[in-house]
Amino acid sequence: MLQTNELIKVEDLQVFFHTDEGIVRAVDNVSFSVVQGETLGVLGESGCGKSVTARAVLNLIPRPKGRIHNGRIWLARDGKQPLDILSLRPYGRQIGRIRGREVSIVFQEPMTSLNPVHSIGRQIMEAVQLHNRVSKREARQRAMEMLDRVGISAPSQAVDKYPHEFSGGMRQRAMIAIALSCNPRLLIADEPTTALDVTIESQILELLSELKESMDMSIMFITHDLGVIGEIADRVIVMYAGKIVERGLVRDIFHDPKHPYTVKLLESRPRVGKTGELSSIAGSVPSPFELPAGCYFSPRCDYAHERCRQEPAEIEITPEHTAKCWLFSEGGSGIDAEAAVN
Amino acid sequence: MTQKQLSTDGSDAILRVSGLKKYFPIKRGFFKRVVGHVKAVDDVTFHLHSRETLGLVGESGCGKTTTGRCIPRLIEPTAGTVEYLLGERFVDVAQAERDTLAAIRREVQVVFQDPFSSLNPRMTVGDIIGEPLKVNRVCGRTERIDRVRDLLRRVNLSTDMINRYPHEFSGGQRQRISVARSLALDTKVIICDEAVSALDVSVQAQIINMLKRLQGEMGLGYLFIAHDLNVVEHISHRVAVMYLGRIAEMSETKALYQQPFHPYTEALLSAIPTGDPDVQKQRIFLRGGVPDVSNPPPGCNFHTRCHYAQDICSREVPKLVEKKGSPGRFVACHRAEELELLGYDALQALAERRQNA
Repeated sequence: MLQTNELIKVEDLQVFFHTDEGIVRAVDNVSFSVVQGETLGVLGESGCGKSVTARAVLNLIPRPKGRIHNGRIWLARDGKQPLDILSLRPYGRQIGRIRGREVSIVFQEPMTSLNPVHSIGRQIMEAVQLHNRVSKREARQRAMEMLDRVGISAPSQAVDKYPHEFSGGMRQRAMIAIALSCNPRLLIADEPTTALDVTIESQILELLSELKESMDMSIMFITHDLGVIGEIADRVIVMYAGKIVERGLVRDIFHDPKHPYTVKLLESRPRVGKTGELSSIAGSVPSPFELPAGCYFSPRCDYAHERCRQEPAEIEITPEHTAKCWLFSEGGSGIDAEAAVN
Repeated sequence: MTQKQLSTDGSDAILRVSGLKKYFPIKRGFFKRVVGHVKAVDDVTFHLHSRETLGLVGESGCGKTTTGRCIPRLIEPTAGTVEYLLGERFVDVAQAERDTLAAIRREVQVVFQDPFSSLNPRMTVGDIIGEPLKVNRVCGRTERIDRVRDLLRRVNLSTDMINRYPHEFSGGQRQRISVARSLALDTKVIICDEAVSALDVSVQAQIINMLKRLQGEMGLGYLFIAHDLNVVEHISHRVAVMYLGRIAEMSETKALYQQPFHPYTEALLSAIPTGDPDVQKQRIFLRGGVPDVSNPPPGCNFHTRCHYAQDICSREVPKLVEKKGSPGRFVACHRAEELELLGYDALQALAERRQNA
């Protein structure tokens, strides 16, 4: 089930959406784990299933269209048997005790995820009081501490303010304060900086790294931004069309990418000092209703081959680094990815 | 990109904007009394040449989009002039009569950020791209279809797609359709308002490459509004950095990234994610967020977040002037002459040194 230092382990997760046009296999057979104290980056373009994966961890998939068809999500518990989150009733009390206390989530839009009619303080207190037996005064005290911790100045005044009085960066800080108010062991951050300006983004990333150290938690960081992932993650999983195509330590992914998709993705980002034509990936992400046979990336891949019509297995390159590509199966030597790195 | 030496005063420009202001009134109460103004754009001056890309960067709310929209008068500027070279002579867009304005808008086009809301979902791609031709009575129906096909080929879309509807296309393809529409008439200037910001990295690169190719083929001038400094560096010949409605610094791109003269530019450069896990960049953290636009700080509007601020900065508004000894480089900072700021490479090197230490 769980290795000793694993905090959460997702096994064979399948999340499908049953829409009028057909079935969307948003997350298809995804397995990964988050180790204690690490930041796991989940990288992918829009529609690759990264946000759905994040939500599934807390069983927050919108019903009835979304359905978790298969999978287990093991959560480690101190001194007790690990618990399968997906075996709990999605609206039950047991999962309610995990959400916000053991595992918290911060969403992308700081504008819409706060309740506009309650003060910031009240929204933090709600989480505190839900999970701890504390008086109102203690909860308020805790709310002020949290606001101070996330770098909001004058917390004794900020605690009574409403979301509209906060700027985008401050709202995201407030969201983080709510998420961390009960000392969770895992924070899921779903594109927490995408809606923010770069100067504010760098503040928030710094804050998350600091809090991770001081509060001894793990972070699962979901983003489409390669620059951000390079900065914050320890390990990375790369997703494409609902599947994990590559995983590895952040250094491996950036300096020695293996899967042609990762290689191309790294090449196509514009960077300061890089001149000439940008390399790009031909075509676009396949429609979820017309997925190609075999490897989903093959129609856009320069190395596509007859065998790519069959689905490749996930091949271990080093114990920490895998790629789901035929190039690395028996006898395959991979691609010369030297040129990809700068 | 090779470019002949261009004037820095805008004498051979195609578009000259000077002293542009746009104040939005803040209305309160039952009688909608005007209680103040949001100075979205406050005294902005720049010019654009043909075959040139001017990047306009800044944080949200700094007035970059408003500036872009004032140029073809999609919103009415409060003050200032926008001069456009129409044929042989400059005309002021702000004063232009109906016919002149229509003529200007045939040459100055806008591509918007959101490819999902800027195309009419009930029109086919052929109708969308052909609409400018139809409205301006450029040509008859048969010729129009030919021209639309030609435009589709220009933006690398298959001509079979002419009868399809926008919802059948991906984000990148829709942005190609937007660009094709903007090229339908005698386009000379395109205002790209965050045109690639909503796209995924791999698709973004396709669109950037296409914009650069079209610039080479057709001699277009771009005003490229964006917040992503990596993208702006890649596509722009010159960059203007905006902060709270004013231009803080404007200069040739390489020079600006290697040796910024304004503390705000330095802070922005230090905030670019490196994308290299081995280098944790030395960040210059700005205090707090952008101040309230309806009540900007007095003097230099950046002084509340600036690490180099002195008394004078809170009293006097610095003017955007050419820096001594650096022709073509404009900066609005009282301390520009004395400060030694770090550029992108220097910040990176500093970070690497720290990493090794």
